Amino acid sequence: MVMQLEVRKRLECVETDPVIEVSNLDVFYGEKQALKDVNIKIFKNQITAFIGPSGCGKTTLLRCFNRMNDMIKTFRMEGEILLDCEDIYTSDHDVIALRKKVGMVFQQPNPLPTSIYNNLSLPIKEHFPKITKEDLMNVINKKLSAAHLLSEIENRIHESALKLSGGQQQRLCIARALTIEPEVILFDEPCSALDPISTMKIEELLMRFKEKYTIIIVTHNMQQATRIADKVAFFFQGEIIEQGTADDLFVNPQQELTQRYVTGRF
Amino acid sequence: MISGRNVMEKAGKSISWLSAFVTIAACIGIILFFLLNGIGEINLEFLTTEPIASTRADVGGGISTPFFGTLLLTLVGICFALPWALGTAIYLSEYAKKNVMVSFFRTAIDVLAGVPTIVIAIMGVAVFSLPQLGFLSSMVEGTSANKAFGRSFLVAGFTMAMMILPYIIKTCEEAIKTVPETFKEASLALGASKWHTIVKVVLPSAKNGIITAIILGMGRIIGDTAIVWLCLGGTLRMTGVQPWFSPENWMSTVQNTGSTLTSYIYFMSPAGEGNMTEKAMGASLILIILIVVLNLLTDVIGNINKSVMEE
Repeated sequence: MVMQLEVRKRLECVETDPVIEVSNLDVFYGEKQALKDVNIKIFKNQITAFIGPSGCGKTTLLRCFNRMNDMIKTFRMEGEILLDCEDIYTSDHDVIALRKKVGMVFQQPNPLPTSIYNNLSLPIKEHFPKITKEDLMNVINKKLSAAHLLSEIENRIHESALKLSGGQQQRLCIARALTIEPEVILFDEPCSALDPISTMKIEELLMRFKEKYTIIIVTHNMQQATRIADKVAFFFQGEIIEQGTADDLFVNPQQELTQRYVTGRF
Repeated sequence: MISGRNVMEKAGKSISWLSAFVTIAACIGIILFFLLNGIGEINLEFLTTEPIASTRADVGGGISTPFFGTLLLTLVGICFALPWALGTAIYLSEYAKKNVMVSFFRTAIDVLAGVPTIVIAIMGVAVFSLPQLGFLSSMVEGTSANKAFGRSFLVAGFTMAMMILPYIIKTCEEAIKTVPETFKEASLALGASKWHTIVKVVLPSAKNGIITAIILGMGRIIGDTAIVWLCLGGTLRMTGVQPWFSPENWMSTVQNTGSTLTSYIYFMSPAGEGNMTEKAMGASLILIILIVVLNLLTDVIGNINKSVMEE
């Protein structure tokens, strides 16, 4: 009875509440405080953009969501991060399951030094060990096509991924992130190493992806945030100074710091 | 006008050039010396007949068993050393934290690298003469002492593994450390476990460095004499069930003693125990060719590695 109640409570919570909820988060690297009292809610099927100057903690927060900061020895945090109403930082939380739920695309395209096929088949095989060869190929084609890459590389799928252009490599990394069927995808400045046309292609992808996934993107590019984001959070020196819808934040910023940043007087 | 500074400049350059030249000349000199003295000895018969213990060169036979002994011992040594060294290297580069234990561990590896091979060999004989380890060689028969013989390809291979362990560990660790952090992040962010990341991403990316480590280790085994002398035994022939090369006898061959090119040279050369200079020269030439080929292989792999990185 109690169990049922709990399950129902969680289901209700998942339906109405944000996908990710951060409360009173402080993050330290050794003695240095990287995030101060951060509170933010990330909602389903929206694009949330983190903006702010370099070193303000955007990427740190992003990497808290899939616990990639665990790799840093001096990392320490206080506060709470809930994903689907579950605390992801309890000691018994399954980090591997978490990372399958929360995919990530990095700043520098990071395909593994092997074929395009292997780059995609590695995570699929890890995820579904019993998959048949045929199904594997189907999934690979589906994900490549979702990342708008299939038509460009169809005959080169067994060639080295390092031979692709930067933009293609990044879309391969996006396709790879899709193979694990995540709920949330984190993008850490995915376009900063790319040319304008590759950037545009990735922005188009993100706009389509939000129907299916929840997207969080760190960006230095204000125009990019204006073009694609539903919600924006402005970071400065480890704090969220202002957050809200993209329209509010860019057109009608409430804080002077935000105003100065979005008008480029920084 | 000649100034003091100019003279210093010229002298410095000349001395460093001369040092480099002497080094290269010594290397080429050794190769040429054995080429000129050994080439006359080398023919198909020398390579394919077994050595025979004799004081007469015309019935002394060839180097077939020492040559295959060298290859067999190298193979056994690498088979023992590689998994052991790779495991240690993975621990040191991926799991070990910075603490007193680990730095002690690293010092121990450095010390092992400095231990003379004759000392490692003596320990090998002592340990593998224990009757409990008799299955690696054979039991001494005909005496009341319950002892293992403590000399065989398995024993010598294991002792060789001890000797080359520090070198392989270091080279593998360096290779693993050069794998970019971004590769590991890519894998971990996809929900792969740490071990899975090491096996599927890190080790394949470090493959060329690991192969270099193996070749370095092979070079050391091929060139070593002390361990062969003590742990493989003072014989020229394969002493297992004959014919030693037939597949059903392989277990007996590795459990028994034999020789390598280095011990063959010792037994043949007047500087060692023999009186057949020409045969020692011929075997030396073959040994040098093996080492040169291994070194070239290391270079080739290094270049492949470089071109992959640049791609």
